[in-house]
Amino acid sequence: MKNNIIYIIFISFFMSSCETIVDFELEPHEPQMVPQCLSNNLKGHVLIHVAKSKGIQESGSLDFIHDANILLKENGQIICENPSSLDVGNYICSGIELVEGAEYEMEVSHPNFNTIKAKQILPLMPDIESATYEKVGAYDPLRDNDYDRMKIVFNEPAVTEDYYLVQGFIKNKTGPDEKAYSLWTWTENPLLEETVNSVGLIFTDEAMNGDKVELDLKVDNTFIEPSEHDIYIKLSRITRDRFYYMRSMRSYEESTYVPLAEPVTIHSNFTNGYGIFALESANMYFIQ
Amino acid sequence: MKQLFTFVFIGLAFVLQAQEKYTISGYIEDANTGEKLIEANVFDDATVSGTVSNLYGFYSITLPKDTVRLSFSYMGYATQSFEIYLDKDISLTIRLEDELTLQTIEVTADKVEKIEEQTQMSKIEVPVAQIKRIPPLLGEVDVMKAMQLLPGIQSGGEGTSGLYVRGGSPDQNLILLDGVPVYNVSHLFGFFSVFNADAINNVTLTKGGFPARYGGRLSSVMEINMKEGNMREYHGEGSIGIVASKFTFEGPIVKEKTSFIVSARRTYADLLARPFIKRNTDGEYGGYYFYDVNAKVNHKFNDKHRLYLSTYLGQDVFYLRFDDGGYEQRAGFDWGNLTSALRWNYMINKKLFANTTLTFSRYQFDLGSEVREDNEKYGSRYTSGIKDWGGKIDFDFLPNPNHYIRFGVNAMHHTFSPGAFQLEVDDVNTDFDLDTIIGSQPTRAMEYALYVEDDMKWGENFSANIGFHFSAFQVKGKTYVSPQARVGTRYLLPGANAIKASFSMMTQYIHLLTNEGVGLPTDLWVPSTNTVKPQQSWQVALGWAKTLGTDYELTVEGYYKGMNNLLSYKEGASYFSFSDWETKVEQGKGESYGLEFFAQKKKGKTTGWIGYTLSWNNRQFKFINSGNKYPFKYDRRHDVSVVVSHSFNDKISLSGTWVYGTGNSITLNEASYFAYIPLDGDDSNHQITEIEVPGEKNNYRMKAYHRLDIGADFRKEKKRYERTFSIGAYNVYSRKNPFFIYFDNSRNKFKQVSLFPIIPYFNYSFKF
Repeated sequence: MKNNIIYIIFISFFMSSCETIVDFELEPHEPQMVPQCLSNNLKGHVLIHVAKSKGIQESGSLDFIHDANILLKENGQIICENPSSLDVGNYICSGIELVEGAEYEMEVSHPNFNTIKAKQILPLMPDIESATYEKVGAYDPLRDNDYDRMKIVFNEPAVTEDYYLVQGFIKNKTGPDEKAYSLWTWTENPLLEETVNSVGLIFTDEAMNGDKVELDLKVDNTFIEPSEHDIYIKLSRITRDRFYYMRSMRSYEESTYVPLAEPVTIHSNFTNGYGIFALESANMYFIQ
Repeated sequence: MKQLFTFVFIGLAFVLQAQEKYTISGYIEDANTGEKLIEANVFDDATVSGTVSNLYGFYSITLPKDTVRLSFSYMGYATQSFEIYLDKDISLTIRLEDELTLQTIEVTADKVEKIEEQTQMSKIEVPVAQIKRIPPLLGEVDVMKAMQLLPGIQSGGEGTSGLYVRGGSPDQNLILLDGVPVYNVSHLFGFFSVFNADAINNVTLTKGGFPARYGGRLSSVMEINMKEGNMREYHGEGSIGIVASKFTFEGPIVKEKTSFIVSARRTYADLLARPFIKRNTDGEYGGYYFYDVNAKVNHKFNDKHRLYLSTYLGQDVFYLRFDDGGYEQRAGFDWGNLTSALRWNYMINKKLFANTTLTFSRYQFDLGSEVREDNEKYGSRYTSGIKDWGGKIDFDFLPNPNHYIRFGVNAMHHTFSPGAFQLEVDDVNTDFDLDTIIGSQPTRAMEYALYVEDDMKWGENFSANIGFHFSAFQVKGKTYVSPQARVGTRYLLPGANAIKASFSMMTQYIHLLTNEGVGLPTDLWVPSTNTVKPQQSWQVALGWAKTLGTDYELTVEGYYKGMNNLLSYKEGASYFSFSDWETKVEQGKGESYGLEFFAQKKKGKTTGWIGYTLSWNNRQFKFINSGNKYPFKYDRRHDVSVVVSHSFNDKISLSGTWVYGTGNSITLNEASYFAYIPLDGDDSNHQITEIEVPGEKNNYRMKAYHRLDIGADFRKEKKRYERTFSIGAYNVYSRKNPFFIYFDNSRNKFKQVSLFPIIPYFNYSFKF
């Protein structure tokens, strides 16, 4: 009986200290335009995707913006104005050859939203000295995948702060207009980080500034048939914004599988808004 | 010119020679218990000079041959004064009477060194008796929570024990129990601290202006000294509360020579609940408890040599058992600290005191499960932790009242075990045995430090503590070194005012990977490595101190702290992600600045303090928040605490605490949109996926935190013992303070979780 009384007293004290849950009010979100444009010097066009943001507490589905006004300037001169909308909020500025060192400004406006702008300077194309492909056919237990090796040597200029993206590609040998497919690429080098969907590796020149750099990469050889495929390695010097954006997207992707993960801020260079306008200068190097 | 120098030198030597000086030295202790009194004041009215006793109660004062009028004083004790003609060195042990035992003698503690007279700034000492009067959560007196009520020191969240000192995180606090670092100060995920107030003699916390003897952490040094044990009589005290009970016993082993103290505490929710759980389930039961034991023995060989052996053992245990005869399953996890210190005091001569310490500290987390069925046994175990062996020698040299020189060296061997998984299979039927360990191998490192400092006085108004701390750290073939300058100054103004200023540099070689806010036992201590650099900070502080009348102390301090190589989880990373810890973290910088106001009343029937902190606290990491500066999670613009305790008479006292703090900053997802992700580089192949995005990091604020706690003590003297009955309540007006916020997907709404509404407590304690 004595134990029962003590137990009841104990439980009653603890019951009174149960957690309580109340609403936490957040200011209503004002929908914003979310332009996303990742372009390079090889494409010959600039594709812009414009989505519309929705407050996290709002119901309803996500949407795109099909009637945004887009202005693209090169060194202050308009090179593309109000391109028409394609499917799912895509706009294309055709016949655009991006010039190394030029400054590009994108302005996106719409009567229902605040006008937003972002600027980029197209970096100089990286100087690839050599690249090789080696058929290895080994198994990497950490990735549970067979791999071959790709090596690339390039000259990293001193002084400037540079950011890079390296990717492996294959193309069918059947014709010059065949589409290039990216290869899953990885490495043990801790300075290189994988991108979202593992379509490339990004890195900074922090530990290699001004050096001749040799990168040793492993590529998924599942789809590579040297007799049928041309093999390329693409090295791009990317803008800081592109690097930060790719890194944040990768972190975001990883965080979705991890409990108690730190929140990820998706990098944006549009002032007071979301979205990204980022460029790269790519050097597509034919290996074999 | 050369002749002038010779003349001055000879003249100086002559003057020094002419001033014959003698030294009075010894120990200052409690007359009733023999406990050493730390930082007791020694003052000579004739020469207007003085000193203080050190951590072991040792004092030394060298004065000119003449009549001296010495007074020995300590807060809460009657001052002893006498006049003697000093013509030889004197050894003198002073025994001060506790004011509680001196009902008829007027206590004159006005000779106690006033706050404006101390060179040291940014240091707070709260008497344990005062800590015990603060209304505690669930009736369990908590030293760490009492510290959180002081300006410049913040709590992380509701009920937690971690200290955020001037913008630093809890791992940046060096918490020393009898000189031994304690790595995890939390019981029950931080709701209680590991320190049993009944076993503690004294607590001091230094949050800036660090003297050179301190090092190894960026933000604070908290020194907790255990009681030594009564040298003259046996005494005991204990308490029974709603969460835990504790008992302390102390006394002489050999009177005036050797004493001991043992203090133990245990929670008993599991013991009370077990009969009911067992009765209602089929052989399945579980529970949680924590316990801790403090023990200390000290032996006085003679006036010159003294030995102390102290130890602390504490453990938290969660367990689950299932047994139906044939099938038996055991699972659970436990964590805890074990610390030991062996200290040898040696009074080398009347001016030089040495303390040699050997230390051991271990923190270990264990998670395990075992299944037995017929002839099969399967087991798994995950362990992580840190283990230290250390040694140090500290010297106190007091050549004259104008210089107090401290110097010393220390070395510590760390073993970091950042997580190993053991798998065991034993199957008699198939003869299949497996016993394997997967995971990180232990990392060993050595940390060294040497220091020298001089607390000096120039004239009556100016004093300074100037020192140099040098530390080194060796790990995996890499050596880091760090020279650190430390300066603290004080200028006494007319009218019992003082202006103080300090500058200190600190370096920290070990880091804690933790989930901010909750004191999880899985927190991992890791060393600096080739890629993870030591954390560093520098801090400047400027302050004003004044004693009003004899009862009130006022301080105002402004500070700026810069921090480099701070560690944070990368965006998207977590303790739970399966990768090497070094790949989950990145290093950046931080800054913290603010203004602290502290008004304290230490004497009289009503005691307490008002503390207010206005502060800013920012972080900047290259790859967090796009490299932009952002407010730290515990950036708290306003932090207020009011602590009042009033004794109506010897029998009844009331106490209350009110705290207010700006809400913690948090990152919330605020919007979602379709993200366009190109896959092959030519826009022909892409992926569109919905993503939820937060705004800038930590750009939302939880609601402000405030709370009122009250308590009352009813004391009664019985024939053979004294008993106290305490009642009170935590969060009297049941404020729903935010603990954390989550997004409820089913309702598209953010929800705030609050932990503690009003929680009453009662406690029965006794003393004999």
